[in-house]
Amino acid sequence: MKDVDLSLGIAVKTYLDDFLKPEWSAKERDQNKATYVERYLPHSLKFKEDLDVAFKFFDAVYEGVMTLGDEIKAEDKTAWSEAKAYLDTRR
Amino acid sequence: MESLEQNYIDGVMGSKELLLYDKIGDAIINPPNAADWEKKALTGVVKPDLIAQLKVSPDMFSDALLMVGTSFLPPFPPLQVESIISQQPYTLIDAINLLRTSEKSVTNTCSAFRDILDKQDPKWLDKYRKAKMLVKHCVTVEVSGRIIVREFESLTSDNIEYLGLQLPAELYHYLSKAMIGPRLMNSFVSLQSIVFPTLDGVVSDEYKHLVTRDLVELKEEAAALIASRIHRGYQFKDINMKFWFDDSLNTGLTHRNMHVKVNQVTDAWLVQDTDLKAQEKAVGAPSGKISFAALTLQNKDFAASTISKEKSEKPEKREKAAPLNTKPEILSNALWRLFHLRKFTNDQHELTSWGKALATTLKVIAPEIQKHGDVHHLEEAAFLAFELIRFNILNSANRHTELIGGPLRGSDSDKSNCLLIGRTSCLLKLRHGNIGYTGPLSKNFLSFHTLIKAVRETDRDLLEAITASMFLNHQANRLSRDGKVRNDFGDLGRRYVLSLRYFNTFANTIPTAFHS
Repeated sequence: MKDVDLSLGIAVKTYLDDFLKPEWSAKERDQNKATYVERYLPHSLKFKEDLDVAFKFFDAVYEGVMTLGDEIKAEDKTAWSEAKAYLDTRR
Repeated sequence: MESLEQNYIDGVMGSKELLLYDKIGDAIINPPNAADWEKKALTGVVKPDLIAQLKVSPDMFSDALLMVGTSFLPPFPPLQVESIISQQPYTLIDAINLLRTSEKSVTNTCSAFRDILDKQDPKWLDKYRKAKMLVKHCVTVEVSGRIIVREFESLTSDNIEYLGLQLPAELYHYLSKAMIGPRLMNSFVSLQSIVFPTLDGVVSDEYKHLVTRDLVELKEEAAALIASRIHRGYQFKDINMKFWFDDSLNTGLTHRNMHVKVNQVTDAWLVQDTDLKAQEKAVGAPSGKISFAALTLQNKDFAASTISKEKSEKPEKREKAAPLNTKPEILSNALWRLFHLRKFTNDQHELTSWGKALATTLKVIAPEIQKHGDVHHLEEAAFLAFELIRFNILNSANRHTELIGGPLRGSDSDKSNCLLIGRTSCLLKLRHGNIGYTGPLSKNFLSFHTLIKAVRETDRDLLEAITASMFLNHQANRLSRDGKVRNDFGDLGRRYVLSLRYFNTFANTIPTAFHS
């Protein structure tokens, strides 16, 4: 079944805003994802994979946005670049 | 039936308005009231007797019958005014007396009582005239099942105004097979397009702008695609838009000037299976998918070759294209037509800047599509992402800190970055056990979901209009190869993108959670 729901949006937001500590090492980040699932989304099926897809999808849209010229506002383009830099320190 | 030679029925029971129709023989039987049951007797009206008793002409009789009100015409307002008709309720005789004082003409009677009409029902005379025409040209069914319009020879060309119109049975068939949903057809039947309340109930400026301004053109295009394939009467009917959050807003879908344009755009896409197959290998995506539609057009030679020969600039090169048959053909061409109307491609069928951006995204995400298939619906998400960016929706503006569930930690720019990443992820799907959603809630994101849903529904309607018009116009074959009516209309409806199901248990639980 196809549907748009916002659960992955909220999950990604909560993960970045509430849970992840930027000072964690790569190994800690990987291990702590299980804790996140336990605490926030106990009934999700493959959260680690879904989160990874969400990040990669963001990268892909970012790449697309960067090809645009004056079709979008300069400040919007900057917002995408800044968000990309923010995400790159939190994978 | 009563007028037929063969006796199918013995009498007609019903309201007196049936006496308006000359095909109803001489008499009608009144529906029995309580007293009739007691007396075990029925009463009735014999039309010639009644006319003789009232000493009126048949024409005046039917005018008076209309004036007292019918199921399709409200009563003549002065009849209900006590200073004019002292004994209420008024009767047929009162109507006849009013007519007599104005030279037996309804028009004159209306001018005599203009002050009352202006106040109560300024358009009553117009309604009366339509009712009169409706009676004259009433629609009846013959024994054979043939539906006829009475006095068809003298039917006026504006008959849509009083007879109304039925949409073609073909559209109802597509609806019954779920190839199209009901929204488009409803808007033609009722001439209203209604924007229903949202799950979050938030009427933000960007939401208002989106549904009252930005999405209107897409709805007009969808209406134009259908209207130009059905009865001419519809082509000149604007559709009124109604919004749940403001009754006073008066926006119309004016599609009459768009018919030529939308058809020029869509008709130019009739790419056949053989050409599709050759491209599948080149781009590594199956035909009928968004990736295929976008990535193939990166090849300029292919893009140029997709312009239908019917539309060739050189008249000597024009030739009639064969209708589309297979599902991949129909799905691919429907998507390209959508791309073109949504300006992801231009008239040369090359990708525009938006189309190139979408192709870039699809190319970057291709490994994930390969790996996971459609579980996150990545392709559709990519398409919607650029639709939303174009409508100034998918960005980090309009943070709505008043709505709970937005990012709270870190610096201001941390919050806005987190918000944009979260919003982008709203387009994808989280795999969750089938027990109802159990994770964190956010009204902030629910409100964003409303914006996605509005765009998605409108794009879906446009895609449905594209597909339906393809069949209505015989650009796609309604029959399968064995000559029978094709049985995959429903499958087509489910396979093309932005499919109908966007509600889910999770979205439904949120308002409860926030309002309780």
